[in-house]
Amino acid sequence: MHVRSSGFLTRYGLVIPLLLANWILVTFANLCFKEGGTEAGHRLLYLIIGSILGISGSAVLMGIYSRMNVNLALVISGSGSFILTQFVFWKVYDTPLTPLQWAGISIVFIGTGMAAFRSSVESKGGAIGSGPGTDSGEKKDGVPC
Amino acid sequence: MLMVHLAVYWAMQILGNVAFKLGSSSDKSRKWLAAFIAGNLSMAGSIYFLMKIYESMPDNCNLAFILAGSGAGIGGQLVLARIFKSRLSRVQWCGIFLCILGAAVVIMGGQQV
Repeated sequence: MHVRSSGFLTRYGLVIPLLLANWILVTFANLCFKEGGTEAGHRLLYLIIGSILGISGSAVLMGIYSRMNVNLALVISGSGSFILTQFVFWKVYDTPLTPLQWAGISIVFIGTGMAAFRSSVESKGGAIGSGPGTDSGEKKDGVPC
Repeated sequence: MLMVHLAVYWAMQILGNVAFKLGSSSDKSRKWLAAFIAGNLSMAGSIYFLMKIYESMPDNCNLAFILAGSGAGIGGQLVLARIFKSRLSRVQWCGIFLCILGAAVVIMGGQQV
């Protein structure tokens, strides 16, 4: 039985642009909802734009779900957009992050790194990538498992 | 009533993610679209209960958000793993719960003193 470590980039090539797209869409949706909450004159406009961005983010999320383990996808997409939102709010609204928030962000980064790391196990009769990090609904080359 | 609102919020968030996952696993566009619509309706509907949770804890909105978000996050992870038979290592599970913990710390760190 041969055990090797597969890097995140090599295993999840197309997933990375989808994750980035999801993070950006959700972050800007949150920004629109924040603006809509404080800018009374354009509340409806920000609500509509934020909803379109959020719904688009969910479509991208479904694309991520079809390509990687659902638990990992949920935590990485959620953590990424949460952290990016914190940074964007900091820059846009000039609200510096506290030391405790930086500590929390560090914990999230560590957790994301741990969650994303996996080792694939090749064994007789077993498929590559059928070890930890998969689930029953993950497509392989477009074919449902 | 707070617990009821929390439970319903968590359930709707989890249901939304289950719908998204079911739709993503399908090759049929109709099923994908139905799951997409159902998931978004569930997520959008859960916001009503989130607002009710905020109403129940007017002096501590950060804690309300942590309760709502952490419950949905942890519950979602467990339910999704159960339904879709996720095969994750212990390290990966630790990473997932660290992410949820880290998010809670970030939210608590934003409290005004």
